[in-house]
Amino acid sequence: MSRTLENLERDAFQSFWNDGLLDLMMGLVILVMGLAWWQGVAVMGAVFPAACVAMWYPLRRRLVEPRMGFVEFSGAREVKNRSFRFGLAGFFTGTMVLGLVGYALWSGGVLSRPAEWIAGFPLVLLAIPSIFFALFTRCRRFFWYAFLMMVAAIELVMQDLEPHAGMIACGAVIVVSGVVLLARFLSKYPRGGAGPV
Amino acid sequence: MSAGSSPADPDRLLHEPARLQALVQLAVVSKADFTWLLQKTGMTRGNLSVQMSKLAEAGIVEVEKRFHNNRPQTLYRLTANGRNALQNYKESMQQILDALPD
Repeated sequence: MSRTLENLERDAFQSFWNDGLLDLMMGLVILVMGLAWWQGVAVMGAVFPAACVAMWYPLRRRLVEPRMGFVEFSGAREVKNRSFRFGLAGFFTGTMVLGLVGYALWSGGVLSRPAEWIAGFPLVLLAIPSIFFALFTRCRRFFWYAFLMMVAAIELVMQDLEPHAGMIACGAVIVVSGVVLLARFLSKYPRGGAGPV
Repeated sequence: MSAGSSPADPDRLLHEPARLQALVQLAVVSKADFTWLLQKTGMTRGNLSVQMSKLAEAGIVEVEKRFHNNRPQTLYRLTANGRNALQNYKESMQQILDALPD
């Protein structure tokens, strides 16, 4: 593929993510995880992200596709998509295993009390997938979300706050951003007819 | 396959901005539906419909009609002939542009 066609393909792929649905889902996941942490409903923090992942495609099909249309990207892009999904799944699995091992070691008394900086660690872990999304979709706003989470993580440590406070704040900001993008998308692309006249 | 694609004579079927725009969009994906092309090209429904019919008649694009989400959907895919025609068109246009004085 020539350089210009490559750019065009990249633009087409980037525009695929500009509806705000991914932002909304990501924001909701972080917000609900924070609320679940705060209220001590750990199971909600685990179930909700899985539900969001399962809901994303049906919602996209219902809300976005009738307006923006359907597209299937090239085989090379599909290979990249698959690698990204595996990478993300690997990251989450690794994080979960690390969390469980850490928790077992701390609760078993093998490790001493966690250092103060650990309060910011959950947000740093949540910022990493946002960086993955930014690199994958080439949508710069995901870098900003990651930056926001990093700043919030530092602030949490400096202000000696609980991790859930930062998660709720960052989640709420990303949800608002997602709602604005989605509302803009829905007004820009009204639902039209399905096919040629 | 459309006629007339010698280096100095670009394919007339492709040498039309609206059709070329739709073809270029199709060249970078595996397949896309009518609505996607409509949004990407900014054409009117009627214009795009006419251009796509011409491209389909010439065998440049392949049309697939199906039901998706309980709605009729028309999908387009660039054929191998279409891809060659686009490449030939690019080469012939390049030759013409190269022949232009600086």
